[in-house]
Amino acid sequence: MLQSCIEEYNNISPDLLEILLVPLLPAQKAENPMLHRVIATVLRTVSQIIQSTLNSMMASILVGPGNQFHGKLGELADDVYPLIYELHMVSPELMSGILPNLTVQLRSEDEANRGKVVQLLSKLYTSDATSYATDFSRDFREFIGRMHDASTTIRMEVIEHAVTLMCKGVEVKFISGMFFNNSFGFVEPIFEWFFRF
Amino acid sequence: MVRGAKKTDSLYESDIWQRNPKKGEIIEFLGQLHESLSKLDQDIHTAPRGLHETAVRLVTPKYLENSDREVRILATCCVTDVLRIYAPEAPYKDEDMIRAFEAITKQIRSLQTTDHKTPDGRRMLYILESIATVKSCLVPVLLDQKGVRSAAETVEELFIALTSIVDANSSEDGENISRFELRCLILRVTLPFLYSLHERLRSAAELYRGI
Repeated sequence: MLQSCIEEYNNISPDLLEILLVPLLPAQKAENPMLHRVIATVLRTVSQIIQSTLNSMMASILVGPGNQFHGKLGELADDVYPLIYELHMVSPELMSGILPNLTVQLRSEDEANRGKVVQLLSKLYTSDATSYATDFSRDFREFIGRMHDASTTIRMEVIEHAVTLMCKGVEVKFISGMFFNNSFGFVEPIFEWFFRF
Repeated sequence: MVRGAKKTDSLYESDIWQRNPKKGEIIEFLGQLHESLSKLDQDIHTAPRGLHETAVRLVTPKYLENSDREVRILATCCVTDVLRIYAPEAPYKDEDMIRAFEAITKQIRSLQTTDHKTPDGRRMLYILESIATVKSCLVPVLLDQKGVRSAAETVEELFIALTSIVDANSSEDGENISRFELRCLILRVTLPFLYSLHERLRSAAELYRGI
């Protein structure tokens, strides 16, 4: 029924989409995994119809002017990164409008926020079933550029995943370029990475 | 239709709507009406006389918002039948349709707290199955697209109701949990054994080196 109703709309309203996204949040998923599964199936089927509303909603949460959200949107905003990962699990197509806005968050001055984004992007770029690194090459380059982030933790996180990606054969040329062609800027991250083990 | 047609006709031409009967009589009447409506097919031309008037009377707040739970459930069952019989064109004005769907949504939501095996629970399931089969759930969506006031809220309420009744403890999920528990159990049983085997091999290797 949910699917039929959404299909009848050309463009789902933000209020309806919020109702559907809440069961994907970590707490709700733990509380009712069956509902999570049902909603994931519905969203997968109607992914094209919800795309535009979802992109606007995520843009307002991630890069919107205000950061005070109320009601269901507030709940979604509080857990936006786990929610994005769930959406990626539902349908990688849904990431097309979201991933560029995540990349914008890499420039956030808040180190903790930057760290969360890097963690999420690491999971997304290294996921087996997708090719985000090639599909969003410009965003991927910006992610790899975080090898020179001011925060050591973030640098380590990116390098670790860059190595995983190199092992998978993704953009080897580009990643190695970041390592070796950056006016000796490569030395520090490599040392950090080796000394960690 | 032919069998018991006289009784059916009398139901649809009942004077109960004009009178002020006791609750018991209303419940009995609505029960019989629901039984009769549920057997009617979708051919309006062969429908009994008085069906249209009965359908219009049913959708009034007097029945759909009655203080008695059983009256509300039975009236909603009857309205659901009307929606099926008249599909895709229900004999209701937009505001009546909104009221009908508000009642339907409330009944669907009540499934969350009602035992499905009780008569009330079975009627609520009947309402849910009927609007799913006939796809009359699309009606509020179409009203919303037409710009009818409170139609968007009705769709939202319907969505909330539909998501609220998905059972967290369904059998399918239960199976997965038991499989997970089984894996944990196997690991718990085998890990100490593997550890002790590893220890024995190590001591054997040390002994061998000593020789």
